[in-house]
Amino acid sequence: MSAALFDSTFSSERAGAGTLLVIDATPVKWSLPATRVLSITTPTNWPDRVSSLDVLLGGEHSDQDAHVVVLKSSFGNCAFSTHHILHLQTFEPNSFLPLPTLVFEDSENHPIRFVIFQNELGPVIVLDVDRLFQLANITAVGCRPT
Amino acid sequence: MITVQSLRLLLLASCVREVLGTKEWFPIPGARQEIPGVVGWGHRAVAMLDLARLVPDLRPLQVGEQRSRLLVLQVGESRLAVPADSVSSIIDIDTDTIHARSVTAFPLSRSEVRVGDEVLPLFEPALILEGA
Repeated sequence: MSAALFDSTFSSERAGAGTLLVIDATPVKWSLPATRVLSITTPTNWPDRVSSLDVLLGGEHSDQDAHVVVLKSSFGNCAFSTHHILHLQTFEPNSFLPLPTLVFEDSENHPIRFVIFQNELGPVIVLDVDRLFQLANITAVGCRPT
Repeated sequence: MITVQSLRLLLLASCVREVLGTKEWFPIPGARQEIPGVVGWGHRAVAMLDLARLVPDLRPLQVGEQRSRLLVLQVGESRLAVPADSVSSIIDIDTDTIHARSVTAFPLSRSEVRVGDEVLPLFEPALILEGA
């Protein structure tokens, strides 16, 4: 396992297979495949409004989001903001456990795909970038294609 | 027979894969009300059904709280984890004693069984799939 803190920029080239960008929204740890992350910037570097990832995932909105994460989905690129701490973590490929479809009312459209129990600090929930993109559009919280 | 607080249910032994002791479960944000999280079991993430969330006046499991037993059930192609306060030994029942539900009101049951002086619902985990 490896971990690195980010403050302003990040390149997906630094991330290999099985590496996730972990968003530590204690007690929940969300994560995104690092290969889908195009860049991480500060909100001041981003001129327009972006979706709040924290709100999209059921958390609280913060006026002081620290990061803007630009993601590559199958439908286009999209930017999300979060005030939580980000770090990279590499997981064994066989630790990605599919989440049972029973868990959700509408599993087809839900952005949670996998859960990882490997982390001693609690489970890490893996998000599907394409579904996240669709969810942002459906809920119209300001997803901005780049 | 399994119990969750004051709820007493019968369950076909053939659908029970394993009975475990206390086991930690993890909440999944946005999950269904009656399936609030998952349990790690045999390198799977198994949906956890909280029976107390199906019955008024029972106290739902809180995050970080467990029950003393965890049943892992086979439901079609899926597994389902069901925390319980107790799991009794297997009871042999005559199929003639199984009747359509009329006295009990447990939602995941279509039939009930008289055991001594008591009528107990026959829990059918597969019914959760119909509501999925």
